[in-house]
Amino acid sequence: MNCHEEIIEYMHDYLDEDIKPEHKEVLRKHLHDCAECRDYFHEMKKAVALVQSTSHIKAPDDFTAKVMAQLPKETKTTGAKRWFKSHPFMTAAAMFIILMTGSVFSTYNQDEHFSVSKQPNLVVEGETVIVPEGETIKGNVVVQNGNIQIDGEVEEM
Amino acid sequence: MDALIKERINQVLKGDHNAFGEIVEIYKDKVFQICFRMLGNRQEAEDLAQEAFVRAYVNIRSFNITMKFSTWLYRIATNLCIDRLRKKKPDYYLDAEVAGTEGLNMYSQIASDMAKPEEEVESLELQETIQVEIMKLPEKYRSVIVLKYIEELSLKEISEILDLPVGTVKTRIHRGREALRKQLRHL
Repeated sequence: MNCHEEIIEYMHDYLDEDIKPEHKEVLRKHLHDCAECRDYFHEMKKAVALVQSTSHIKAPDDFTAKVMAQLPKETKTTGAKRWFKSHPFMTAAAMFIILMTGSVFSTYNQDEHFSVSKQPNLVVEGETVIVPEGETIKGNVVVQNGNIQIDGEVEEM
Repeated sequence: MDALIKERINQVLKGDHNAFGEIVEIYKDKVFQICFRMLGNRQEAEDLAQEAFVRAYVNIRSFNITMKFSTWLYRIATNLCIDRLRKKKPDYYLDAEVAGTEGLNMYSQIASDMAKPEEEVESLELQETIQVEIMKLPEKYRSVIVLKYIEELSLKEISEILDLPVGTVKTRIHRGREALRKQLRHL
């Protein structure tokens, strides 16, 4: 085989897909004439094919879980951020609850505010509603959290 | 693919654990395969492949985002394997070569498209034999052969993974191929 060293080098170049066109031609001609080198080349290609045939092994099913369990812990804020991102519905529901609670409280608070039914002729001084003298108010006058002073008249509808 | 990986890496950089899980899913088979072919032992391959991912996670800040992520990851994995092989006692190899049961476990996981059981067994034995022959290669030839023929990487990528000049990678592939030719010619 020693006399064919150059040819073997070309075989490797060929298998590396890195052969010069003129060397490829030399190799082709030589393989055509020399049975010994033909066998050699065949053996080499066979070895490569056999090695290639062993590929495609799969990692165990729990591989990723095991890796994740070994990672150092992440920061809390990122965890929370991701939770919001990955649970948009829960986030929306939480927002809804917060806003609803807020509005319940604000309506509740409104009960303590001074209010009076809207009628013309009513005079409001501070938290006192005055029905002025000589005026007639039509309909009920409703006053919440305040006083009423009736100098005129209130007529039921 | 690369764009997806880059996005995941950016998420990991922001501290997002789960994005790393997706990266592991994408590369676990490749990394496990490199380790198994290098070490010839399933349990050890699994341990080292996991270790490779943990190291990648811990050192993710040192990853250059313009680089190919797989190259960086495979480099971590091959370095771990090479270190392990160098620390091992030589008589260990004999154990690894004889342990056919390991292989059975292993190859039962390969998605089989073969119908006949006898063919399957035959192929199993052949696979084991080939693995034994790969294990006989000296470590420096084994690593290039595994990366070239099992992971199907280019010479340039292999040279980046192993941090060797392309010329050296080439020479080692030639030597490895010669050795395999002699070992496998009678199969």
